[in-house]
Amino acid sequence: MGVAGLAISLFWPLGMLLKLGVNRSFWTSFAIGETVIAFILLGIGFICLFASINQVWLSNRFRLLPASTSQLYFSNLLMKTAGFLLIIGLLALIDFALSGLILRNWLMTPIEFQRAISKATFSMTDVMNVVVSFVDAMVSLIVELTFLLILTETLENFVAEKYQRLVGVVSFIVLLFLFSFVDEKISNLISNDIVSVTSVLFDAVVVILCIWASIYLLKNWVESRK
Amino acid sequence: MSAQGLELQHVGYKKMTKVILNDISVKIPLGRLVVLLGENGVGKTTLMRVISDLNKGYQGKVCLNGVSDERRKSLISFSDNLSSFRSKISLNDVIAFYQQGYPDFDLQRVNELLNFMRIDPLQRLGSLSKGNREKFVIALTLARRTRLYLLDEPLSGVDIFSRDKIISSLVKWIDNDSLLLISTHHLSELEQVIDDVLILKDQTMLEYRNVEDIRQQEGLSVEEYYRQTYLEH
Repeated sequence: MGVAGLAISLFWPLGMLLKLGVNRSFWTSFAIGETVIAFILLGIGFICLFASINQVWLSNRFRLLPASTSQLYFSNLLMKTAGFLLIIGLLALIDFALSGLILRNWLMTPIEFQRAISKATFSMTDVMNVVVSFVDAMVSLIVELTFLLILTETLENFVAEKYQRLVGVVSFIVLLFLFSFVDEKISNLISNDIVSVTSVLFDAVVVILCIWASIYLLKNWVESRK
Repeated sequence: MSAQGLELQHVGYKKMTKVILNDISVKIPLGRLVVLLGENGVGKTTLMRVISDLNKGYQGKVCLNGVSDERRKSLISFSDNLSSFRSKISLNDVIAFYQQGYPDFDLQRVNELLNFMRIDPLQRLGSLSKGNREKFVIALTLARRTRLYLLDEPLSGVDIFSRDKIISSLVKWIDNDSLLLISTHHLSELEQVIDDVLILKDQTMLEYRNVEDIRQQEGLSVEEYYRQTYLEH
C-alpha cells in the first residue's frame, strides 16, 4: 500500500502535467486530486490496518507464541500502528513537500509566500491542542475499533458456522453505531469542547475500559482458526 | 513430583450446544511417548488445541508441570499447519520467525532435522509438497527444547519410507524430561516406539494405558487392543 501511495503521489502530477500542461488549472486539479487520493488511501490504509490487527488474534502462528495475552495485545497494536503511521507519515511528508513547492513556486511568488508564512501565528496552546487531539483521536480510534472487532469475533462463536460471517458483519455495524452513539452522547454531556481536560479524561477512561475488555475477551473467548 | 507432567482434570469443551470433549481426566508423566487414538471427529485435534490454550472457554483444568494458566504455552510445542504464513515465504524466513518468537528454539537442531528429512530451507513454503510440508512442520515442532510436544496427525501425507525413518528417530529428538503426544491413524508403524496409548471415544477418554502392560497382560498388539477396546465399548 505504501508503494502504491508513493507511486500515486509521484505519478499523479506527471499525468496531470501531460494532460493540462503547466498552468494554474493544472495546479488546482492536482491539489484537489491529491487530496481525494490521500483520503482514499487513508481509508484503505485503515481497513488494512484493522484487518491486519484482527488477523493476529485468529492465527495459530501468533497465538502459540510464549507471550501473555496482554503482551500480544499491546505489541500487536503498537507495532501495526507504528508501521501504519510510518507509511502514512512518509506519504504525508511527500505530499506536504509537494504542496509547499507548488505554493512557493507556482501559486504564489516567493515574497507572497514569505508574507503568508510570517502572518501565520500559532500559540503553544494551539500546537498542544492539535497534538493532544491527534493522539487522543488516533488512540481512541484504534483501541475502540479493535475492541469492537474482538467483540464481534466473540459473538460469532455463539452462532452456527455458516452464519458466522453474516452475523459478524451485521453485529459489527450495529455495535459500531451503538458504541459511537452512546460515546458521543456521554461525551457531549461531559463537555462541549473538543479539546478539554474533561473530554480527554473521558476518552482515556473509555480507552482503558476497551483495553481491559479486549484482553479479557481474547484471553477467555477468542480462538485462533484451525 | 506429582506436578511434573501433563494433568487434565475433568476437561470438557463445547461449541454452542455440541459437546466435543467431555470430562477427560488423565495424568501423564514426563519422559513418555504417547499416541492419541480415536476415529475422525472424536476430538483429538480439539484436545490438543485445548492443551495448547488455542481453544478457549473449556471446562476443567489443564496443568503442565504445575502451570495451569496461559503461561503453560511456553512449555508446549504444537505442530501448527503454517497456514498463516504466505506461500511465497522461504523456509529460512519461517525458521527465523520461530527463532525470534521462541527462546527455546534450537537452530542447530532444526538444521539437523531438515538435513535428516532432506528438506532444503531455501525453498518457498508454497512450493513444498504435502508430505514435505508435514516434514517441515515436524522439524519446526521438534526443534524447540521444551516439555510437551503435540504432533497432530503429522505423518498423513508422508511417504512410507520417510515415515519409517521419522518414526524410528522420534525418540532421538525428544529429551528424556519431555513428553510427546502424537495423534495418528498409522498406529502399527508407531507401535515399536510408543510408551502409552490414550484412546478417545464418544468425546471422552476410553482408556489411558501402558503399551508394555497391554502386550504382557492382554497378549495383544496395541492395534489389536485398540480395535478390541473400541468395539467393546
